[in-house]
Amino acid sequence: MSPSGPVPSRGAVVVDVWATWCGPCRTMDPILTRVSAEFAGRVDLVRLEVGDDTDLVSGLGVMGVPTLISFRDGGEVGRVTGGVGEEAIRAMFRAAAVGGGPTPPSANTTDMALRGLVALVLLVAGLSLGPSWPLVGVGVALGLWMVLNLVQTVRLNPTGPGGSPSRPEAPDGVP
Amino acid sequence: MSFANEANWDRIARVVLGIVLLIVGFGVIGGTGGVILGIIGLVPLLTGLIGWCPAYALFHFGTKEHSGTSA
Repeated sequence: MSPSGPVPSRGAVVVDVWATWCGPCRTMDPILTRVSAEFAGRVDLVRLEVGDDTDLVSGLGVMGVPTLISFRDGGEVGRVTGGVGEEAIRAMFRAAAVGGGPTPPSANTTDMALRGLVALVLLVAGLSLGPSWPLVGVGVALGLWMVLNLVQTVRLNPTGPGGSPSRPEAPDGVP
Repeated sequence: MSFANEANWDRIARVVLGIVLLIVGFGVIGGTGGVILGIIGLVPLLTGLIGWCPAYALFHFGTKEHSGTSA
């Protein structure tokens, strides 16, 4: 992602792409304001309304709202689309402040373990009862889901699945 | 997890219920009634695995302590 519009070539910026008709955007708004205040002076928050800045939004490759994109020195270091909670929002600001932080993984280790365990139970039950192919099918689907989560998490965070997006470099925090 | 609104105990209860309904429906009963029971079981299973319940979201309710999203 090349820097454009509201993204300076230096410093840390979190871009919030929102829409007036978007419920999760309204829910996230006070959280964004609060977290932004925590990172005041280190990370700038830029809000883009999709209707007002269509070219800019499509230039950022935004596929839906709400979307948060973290930039560090003009380069994208994190992106999340969809309604997210306070911790994920804070992770986006931290990624911009520290630099190089990945997009927060959509599934943590617990989620993946739970999906894998359920897949195994259903596969074993499906194969031993009959076999019951619908059970086997659901088990295979859940297993694939877990594998997709795992691949995504490893790709985004090579240091290990489900980990914090923080990096070993010390945060300089100066935009 | 986007907007998770279920506590861990809630998720585990849903997953266990979903597994039981699926196994009983598809594996034990079978037939039309079993398929219906299995499909019903998919609902708690999936909402438990995702950690987000649309019915909770509809009524701004949640079992997870989560700032900004739960009751």
